[in-house]
Amino acid sequence: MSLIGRLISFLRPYAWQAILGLTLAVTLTWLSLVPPMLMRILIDDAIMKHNRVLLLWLTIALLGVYLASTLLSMVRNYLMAWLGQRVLYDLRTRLYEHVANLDMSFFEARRSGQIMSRITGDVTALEQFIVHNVPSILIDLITLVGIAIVLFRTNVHLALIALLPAPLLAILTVYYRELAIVVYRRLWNVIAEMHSFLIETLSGIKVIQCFNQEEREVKRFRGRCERIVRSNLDAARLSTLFFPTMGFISTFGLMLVWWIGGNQVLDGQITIGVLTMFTMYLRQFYVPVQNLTYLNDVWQRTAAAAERVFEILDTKPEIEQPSQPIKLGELKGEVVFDRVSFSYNGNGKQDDGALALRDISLKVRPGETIGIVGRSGAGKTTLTALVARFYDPKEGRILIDGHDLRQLDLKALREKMGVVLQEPFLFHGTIYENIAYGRPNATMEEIIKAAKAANAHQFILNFPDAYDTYVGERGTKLSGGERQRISIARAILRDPKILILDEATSSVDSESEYAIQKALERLLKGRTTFAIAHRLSTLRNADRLIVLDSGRVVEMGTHEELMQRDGIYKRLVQIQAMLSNSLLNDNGNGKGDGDLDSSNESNAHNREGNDGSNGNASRA
Amino acid sequence: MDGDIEPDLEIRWLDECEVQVERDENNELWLICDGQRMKIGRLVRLLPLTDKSHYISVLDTDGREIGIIRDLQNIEPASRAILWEELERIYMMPKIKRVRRIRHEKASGGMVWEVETDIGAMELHIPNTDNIYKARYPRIFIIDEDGRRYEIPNCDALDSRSRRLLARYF
Repeated sequence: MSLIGRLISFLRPYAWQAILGLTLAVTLTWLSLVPPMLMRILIDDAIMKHNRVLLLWLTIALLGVYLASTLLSMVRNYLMAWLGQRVLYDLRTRLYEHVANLDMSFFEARRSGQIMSRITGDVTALEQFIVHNVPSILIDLITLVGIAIVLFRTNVHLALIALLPAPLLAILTVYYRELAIVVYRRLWNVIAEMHSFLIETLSGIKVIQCFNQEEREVKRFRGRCERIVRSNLDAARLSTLFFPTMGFISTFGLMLVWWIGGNQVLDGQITIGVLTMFTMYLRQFYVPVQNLTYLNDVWQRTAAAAERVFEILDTKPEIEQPSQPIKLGELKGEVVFDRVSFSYNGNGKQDDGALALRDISLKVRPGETIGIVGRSGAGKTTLTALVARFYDPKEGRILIDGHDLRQLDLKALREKMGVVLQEPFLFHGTIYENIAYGRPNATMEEIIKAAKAANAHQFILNFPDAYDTYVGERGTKLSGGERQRISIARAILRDPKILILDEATSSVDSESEYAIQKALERLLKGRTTFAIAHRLSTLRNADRLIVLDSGRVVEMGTHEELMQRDGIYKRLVQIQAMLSNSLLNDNGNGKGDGDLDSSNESNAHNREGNDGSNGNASRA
Repeated sequence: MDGDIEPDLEIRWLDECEVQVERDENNELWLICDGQRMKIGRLVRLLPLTDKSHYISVLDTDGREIGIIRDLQNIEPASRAILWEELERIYMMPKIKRVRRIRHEKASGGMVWEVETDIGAMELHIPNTDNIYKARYPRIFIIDEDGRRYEIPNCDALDSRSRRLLARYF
């Protein structure tokens, strides 16, 4: 389907409203052709012949035409606004729905600011085109044809003179189009860059302030704004040169008509009423001509926006739901890696160096806890991402309860999975809503139980609004430990059979860590668990530990077994113990037990309720 | 679910026993449940903004949760009246009926709302727009700089001047 056809297809659900809008537009166009004709009669037959009765009737007729135009315009404008909003809604929700179902590789290849620009700005440009520009093209064409017929029937000589500027207008438009493509594409790119920059710096504002980099970031922002200014000025320069020039050329045609038509009046070849009518029509004639030349500019923007929007809509997720998915019943939780290799860059077969995982074979029993250990970049997170099927292996296969992951119903599979990340993501909503995120229909009783199991209930009670407390954007009103416990409650409520813990305790203080460890112990019971941790002490109770190095499993066994070997695990444990002791010696106090991280448990929230009352109580 | 949580983590529902609440001469509240008499340290509405009469947590004087009342309707009337009175005292939240004026403080970046509430005229000092909670629109909650809460039960039902003044915030 052509680009225009594809765009217009968004009107299909509102076909009747669109037809009504178009009918009204055509009616209004025809009505706009009536006044010049009436003016001709008014001048030639009423004023010049002193016919007062005719003058009165013609004035009333003109008033009626203008009144009808006004009323119909009101109806049409509202209808178009309604249609515009419906199309905008459809476009935006369809795009977001599609984006929400795309896999990780899509988001890794694009900055979120660019995606945002497409969902906000580009979609609005498309709505403008579909709802406002397309009808306007039709109206302009009808106006042009209608007026051309009247002009040629009235005076062929004058009509031909009026059309003299047309070839020049066409040449200029083609030239402008070539330049406009480059300018508007660059403008969009710099605006998208600014969006990305804002998203990045606003979400990392703490780091910026901690490192005193405010000035540098402001300077960088200024640089981006200057590029936008320059690009906009380039576009403005082009427009300011082009459009007034087009206007002048059109007016030149009108001046010629006044000169030649005026002479024809003086020679008695035509009446003054005819010349007035002719010039009135000509003014109406040049408006659509100019509109159609602007249309080129609009089309350039629309085509660029459509290209970007359809690029997303046409992107097929690499992780696809199988055509005939196997429906899992009760999941036992056995996970088998069968000679699995994976690369983030295309097909890993050709370039062994690019492999993030190499030839992994591993059988995890239902309910078993597997601790995953290794240096940064060893492939720990990649391994768990494959279990959740955020990516598919390039070679080998992963089996869950004996079924290849690629043949399972994706949604059903993820329903059985729980994830607790190092930086838990909470949504801007209440604690209640965040715990219930994975099970919106959970009862309050289930939510309280999950919060209790996550050691979160007690601190929730201390908030003045308890479970109705708003956590702020990304949960910023809670401390790191509190956020983590809410995320564990969320996972508990989901009751997953397979659980992924990715550094779940590494960003919290020792006290929070203890509470979180206790909560995790409860969460782990009866679930197949993959736990990643740099703090090796937290993995001691794992049933088995696997050590990854450059994407390979190099060691496997219990903590005791691995400590008996002279391998990577033993060295990592020794290094952590050494560093821990060194901290103890330096400070005379420390966390010990391989605990290398200090925390930044923040007092992000105002706990006016800690005294046992709501904030209002003190005043009451 | 139930099996995943250890028994000590189970919820003790107070309205499943013959619960009674008394107020003594020192204005202290006492809970009598299953023959035990315990001093109440704190009452907490678990959903103070969305469900005032359900899920009331009762804490002892050490801050430990004694149990939760699922529904105040399950409590005998005299005890219910005592609990309700205490909860309304703790969670007093003036209802804004009219907004007279909004001033912006250049120095602090905050604003001052001159309002009429169900308990009289007030001046609310609001640090920033983040303190205006619109998630349950048209029901709006406002928290002033001292953490006090105010409610506009239905901002669409306010008079036209108030709505005009508030239009930029909602």
